[in-house]
Amino acid sequence: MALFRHVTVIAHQDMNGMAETAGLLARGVGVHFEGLVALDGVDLHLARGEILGLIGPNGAGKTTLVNVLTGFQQPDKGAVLVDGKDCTGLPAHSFARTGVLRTFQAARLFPDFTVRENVELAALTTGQTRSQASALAEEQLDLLGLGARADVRAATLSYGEARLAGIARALAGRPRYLLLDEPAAGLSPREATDLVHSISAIRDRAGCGILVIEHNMKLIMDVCDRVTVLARGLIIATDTPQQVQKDEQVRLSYLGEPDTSRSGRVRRPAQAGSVKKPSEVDMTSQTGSDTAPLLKIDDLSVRYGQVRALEKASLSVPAGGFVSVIGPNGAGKSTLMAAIAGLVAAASGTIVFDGRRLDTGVPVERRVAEGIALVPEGRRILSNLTVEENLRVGATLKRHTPQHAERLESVLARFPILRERFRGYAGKLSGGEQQQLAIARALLAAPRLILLDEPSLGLAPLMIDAVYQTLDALHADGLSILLVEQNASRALAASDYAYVIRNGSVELEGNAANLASDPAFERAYFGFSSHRQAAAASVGAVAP
Amino acid sequence: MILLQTVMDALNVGGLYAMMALGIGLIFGIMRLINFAHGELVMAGGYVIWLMGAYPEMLVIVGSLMAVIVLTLSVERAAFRPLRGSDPAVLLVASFAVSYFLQNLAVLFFGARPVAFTFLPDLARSIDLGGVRVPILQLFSMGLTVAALGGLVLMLKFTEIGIQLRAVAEDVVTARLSGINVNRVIAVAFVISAALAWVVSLVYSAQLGQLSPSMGVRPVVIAFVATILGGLGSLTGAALGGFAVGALTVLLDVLLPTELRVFREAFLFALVLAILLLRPQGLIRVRALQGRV
Repeated sequence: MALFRHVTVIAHQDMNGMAETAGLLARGVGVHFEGLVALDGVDLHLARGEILGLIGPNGAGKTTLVNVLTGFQQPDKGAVLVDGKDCTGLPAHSFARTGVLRTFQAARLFPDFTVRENVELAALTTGQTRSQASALAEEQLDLLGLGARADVRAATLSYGEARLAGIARALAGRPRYLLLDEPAAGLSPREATDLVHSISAIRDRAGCGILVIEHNMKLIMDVCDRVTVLARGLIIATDTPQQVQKDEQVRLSYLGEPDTSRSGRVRRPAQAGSVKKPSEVDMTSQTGSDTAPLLKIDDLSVRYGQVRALEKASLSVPAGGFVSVIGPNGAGKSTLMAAIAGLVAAASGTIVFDGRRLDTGVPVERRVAEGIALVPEGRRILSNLTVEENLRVGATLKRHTPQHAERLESVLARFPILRERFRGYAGKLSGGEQQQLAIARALLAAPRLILLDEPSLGLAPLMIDAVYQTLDALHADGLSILLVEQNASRALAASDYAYVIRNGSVELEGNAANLASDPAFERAYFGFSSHRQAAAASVGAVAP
Repeated sequence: MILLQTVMDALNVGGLYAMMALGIGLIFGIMRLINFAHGELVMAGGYVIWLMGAYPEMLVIVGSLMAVIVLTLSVERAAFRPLRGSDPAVLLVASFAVSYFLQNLAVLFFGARPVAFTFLPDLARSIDLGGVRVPILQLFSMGLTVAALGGLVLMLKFTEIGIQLRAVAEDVVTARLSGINVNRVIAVAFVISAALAWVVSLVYSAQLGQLSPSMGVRPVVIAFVATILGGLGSLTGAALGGFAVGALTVLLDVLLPTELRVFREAFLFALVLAILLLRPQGLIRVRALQGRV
């Protein structure tokens, strides 16, 4: 909190001392989307020659802030100043003309132009002559190490090269302020390291102020002078990378507040007597003589084009187990879920469910019939259908059979609110109610394994409690659960066993209760460890 | 009495366009395909009825309906399924290709010249209804239209497959995760759209009194305009748009001076353009029309 006040004071001084308002400045910026507050009075200052990192959990408002700073989004409140000039309300190309340039999450090059032409084109639009543009393009491409690839078609670039070409194109517009939106997303660790050098080189050569949005914490900590942390539309910290790493509030914004409500704690004490020993062997022994896990994944890799989403990930879920997969945004969690459910194909590796290979092209609906149900990220309920119809879509049994009636009755008993809203449109439900509907829909397929992708995302704390109580109850009833979460505290408190994944690979695994206090955990999650815990020994870590 | 006649005409023409628009809208909602080959189903239905003219009427009805369904399923399997998930522009061009292919196939088999269509000749008579002479054909068309539209509404609202159809139209991923076989649902959508096309071919051929290989083009273009007017992606909108275009057509017929009546279509499309300028999203706004397969 002290930090926050400190930062606000600086911003106010900037505002009062009007003579010295150099820099890209956001002043009390607020943005709403249909009732949802995306940004709530955000102040931000980016000086020339500075590299500022912007981090924050999913849904914090990072991209919205970049959109405001580049004119792609009009703020409802507040102002944006570029070197003292009020640019609020100007269209995006005016921002570009005043020297505020950005890259996008996708490179968006013209595929049939050469790399050089792509970069030249950007230079030409800033009013330079053909020869100037050509020289400038040459310079930027050399700076980013793309000189040798200047004359190939942009479509033939590798994913990493295309990202760099996108940056070169922004540089050709001679930015005073350059905003990079997830420049390292989908890059290999080696490419990400090169990118760190490139970004530093850009600052040294072009002298521009650079704002970097990234989920790759290591990159942020390596390259940035200062780091600003955004959570739920508010800036919660702005400081040096070292200080931010140690900031407790920042940690909590990512890992989630530990569950302090009386209700949420119910499961652990209640089960304390019967809790299994933490080892995997012990967990599988629950199933009796059958020691094979219900779900076993070995060396699973998934690629989207050239983007590596998952790299040789291995994990298993014992029958009756509650396993969570934790990791930051972009770690490959949703891809893992999609691969298990059959929505994406594996590039290599095996997925075995109950002794049966699934990675051999078994379609989604057959996997549902086998007993795997996925509650997807963002709930994806059918909002134009009624609650009843949503549930009917999920039901895999014929409607007039007694088993179906029984299943529906047990699901409605679990979620009484759905019975109340039975004939209402699903789109009219609140976020928490929609999450209940999504889980209910999955349960109607009578799964043996339920997969949940970020069930707490975008929900109010009270609703998150309700979701986790539901999961506890399902687990107590013997259902096997595989949960994917960014909110690590909740997931670790609820599950028996956990895996931490980052950059598409399993970094750490172990008994959930141990992991929560394991210093290796934060290193696996963030890619660095806070000083507070760095010295402690790691237990149960697998070599990354 | 003229008013009554005008209203009936408007309902009749509107119903026809509504059925065409629903046939197109159903497929668009589910796989983002604007199926211009839908008109050739109407044409094919007419020719099959004509070919089977010597058989008993019930047999003709069942046989021609089956033929249209088999045709649409073959087209789906051969042309549209391999392209599923492609850019909508690719799908659109593919449907043009199928449309021209079928038209020219019809020219090859039946010749380019129109042939007379005389199925159920009793329909051509008129009966006296409270002082108004109403052609039986008109009553027959209205009955069929009401049955087809009503049946479709009931099916979408209450049956298992109807709910699955709406689920797939809204979110293919959720539908698949719920265990729905999307291939089967899409096939069913094509069958329903073919059945609607078949009803149109029966009514439309009887009204025209003749068949030609290109007879499906005009109704499909107007129905396409109707789906856009109603709000692309909404079935209610498609039906509404169909009735609106039909009503406008008949209204222009009545209101325009005789010498301008030949330009009716120009006035019709000018009106459609005006409506779209005022309400670009169509009559019914559809939420979340992106991010589908």
